[in-house]
This record gives sequence, structure tokens and C-alpha cells, in this order.
Amino acid sequence: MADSDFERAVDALFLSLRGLHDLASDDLRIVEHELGERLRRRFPAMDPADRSDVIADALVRVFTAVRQGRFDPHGSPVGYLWTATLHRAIDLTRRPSTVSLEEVSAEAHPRSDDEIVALLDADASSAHVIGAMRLAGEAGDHEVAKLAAEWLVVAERLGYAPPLREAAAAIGTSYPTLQRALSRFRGYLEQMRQAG
Amino acid sequence: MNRTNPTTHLSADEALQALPDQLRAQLAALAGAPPEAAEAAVSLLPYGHRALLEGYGLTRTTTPTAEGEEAVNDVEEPRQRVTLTPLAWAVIEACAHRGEKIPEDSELDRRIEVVREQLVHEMQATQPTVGV
Repeated sequence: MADSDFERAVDALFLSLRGLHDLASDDLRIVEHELGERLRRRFPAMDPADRSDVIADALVRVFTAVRQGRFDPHGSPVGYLWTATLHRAIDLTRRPSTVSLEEVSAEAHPRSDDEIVALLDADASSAHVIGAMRLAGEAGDHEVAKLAAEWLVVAERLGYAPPLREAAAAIGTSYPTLQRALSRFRGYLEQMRQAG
Repeated sequence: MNRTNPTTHLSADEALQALPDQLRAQLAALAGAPPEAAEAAVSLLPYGHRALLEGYGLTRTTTPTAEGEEAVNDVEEPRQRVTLTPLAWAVIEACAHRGEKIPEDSELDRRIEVVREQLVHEMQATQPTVGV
């Protein structure tokens, strides 16, 4: 992809954030793709899932900055966006660890939604989980849905199904609370499985 | 993530009760963003959060067909398209109104890192020592 395509797409993104231009979905795709490529070249060991997280975080921060008028309209949108992305990537790589993320979980890191779901329940699919979230919501079991979602985020980041005590510590809840929530969520999952 | 979710009838207040702090803050930052930009940001969230949003009817996710205008090529997996529902925009506005802030360092990320550290420590402690 030519740099000029990227620059044009980033310009369009920034203009749209300032309400001056409609954003074409292709432009956003170009921005995401090029940021991903640049991250891949700059941080070859970075996990693809981490790259996506970095880009998402950077985009959200740029949205906020532009809307709050913290971006100088005379500045370089490409430079601003890339700097925000780079800072998030550096934050990620600077997290203290005696062993890199890749060394811990390169082989085990899930790649697809269904693979992540399998860490929770080998017989469930992503569609089952979404249905279970819906059932929990309709039953007013919002804490159950929230904790199940957080468990899935922790498992995705770690690349394995964490023991309940570790997961509870990561989420910031108690072991019995998480245990009860996941038990109830598995009940909703079972309902979804039985419903086909 | 395929669209399998029938219409839900939750209110924004109910949905807010299910959203973790970090996700509420991320949604707050999307207030006023163009739909395409907001939807792209949401599509990059971790799976657990995307599943929660989909289950609560804040998003609808579809996978374009090969014949679709998105021109899915033969090599890459079809790209999923996330659409934010009116409920999502109501929740985004509510999050923004509540002044949810994105933490510089996510508390969840920090805690996950602690767990990862513990795992690494345990792995190192249980590795057999090689004779010298």
C-alpha cells in the first residue's frame, strides 16, 4: 500500500472526527491495515491479538483527543496517530515480565472466537456464549454476564483457562463470587446448547 | 461472531449494569465518533467484551458473503462487520454523560499481568534443573 493512500485515509479519519467529512469504511480499513503492518515490522514478536488491542486503544485515544480539541489541526494526523499507536505498543512491551508473552503462550494463544470460548467450555461455540449473555441479560443477571465476559477477556489475554482463584484475582472479585457467576453462566450456556 | 441474537428489550440502564469499568470507559470515548470509526473500534475489542455487547443487543455482527461488496478474497477469512444498534448509542451517550474515563493503565490489564507473572514464576519453579 502506498504511503499516500495511508495519509489520505488518515486525513479523512481526522476530518470525520472533527465533523468535517464523512468517513468511508474503506478508509478506516486502510488505516487499521497500515497501522497493523507498521506494528508488525516494528515489533515482529508482538502477538496479532496484542496488535489489534494496541490499534483499538490508540484509535479510541485519538478519537478522544480530537474531540476534546487536543489535536492541533495544523499538525500531522499521520504522525499523531502513529505516535499514539507507538506509545500503546511500547506500554505493552514494557510491562514487567521475566518471560515474554510469546514465550509463555505462543503455542496456546487462541486465535478465533470459538477457540477462546473453548477455554471456558469445550462444547460451546461463540453463538452459544452470545446467546447465554442474552439470556443472562433478560434474566437480570447482569453481574453474571459481566463476570463471564471478564473471565473470557482474562483467558484470551493469558492464552489459557486460568484457575478460578487466579481469574478472580485478575478480575478483582472474590473466588466464590466468580465461581457462582460462572456456574450460573454455564447454566445459560446449557440452555443455549439444548435449544440447538 | 455470527448474528444469532434475537431482539433484546433491555434498557440502557440495564445494559450499563453488565458493562465492566474499562468497557464503559472505552464506549464513553466513542461518543460523537462517526459510526464507521466507532464500529471499527468496537470490532477490535477483546472477544469477551464483544460477546457481551452482542448478547445485550448493543451490536449486530455479520460476516459478509463472498459475493458481498466487501470483496472478501480467497486467502483471508471473511471480515466480520459490527454494527452499533440504537441501544449502543444510548449506552455510549450514558457512559459519556457519566464521565467514564479510560485509565492510563487498565486495572484489568495490570491484574492480568500479575497473574501472568505468577504463572511464569510457577513455571520456572517447576522446571527440572539440568545437571551441570
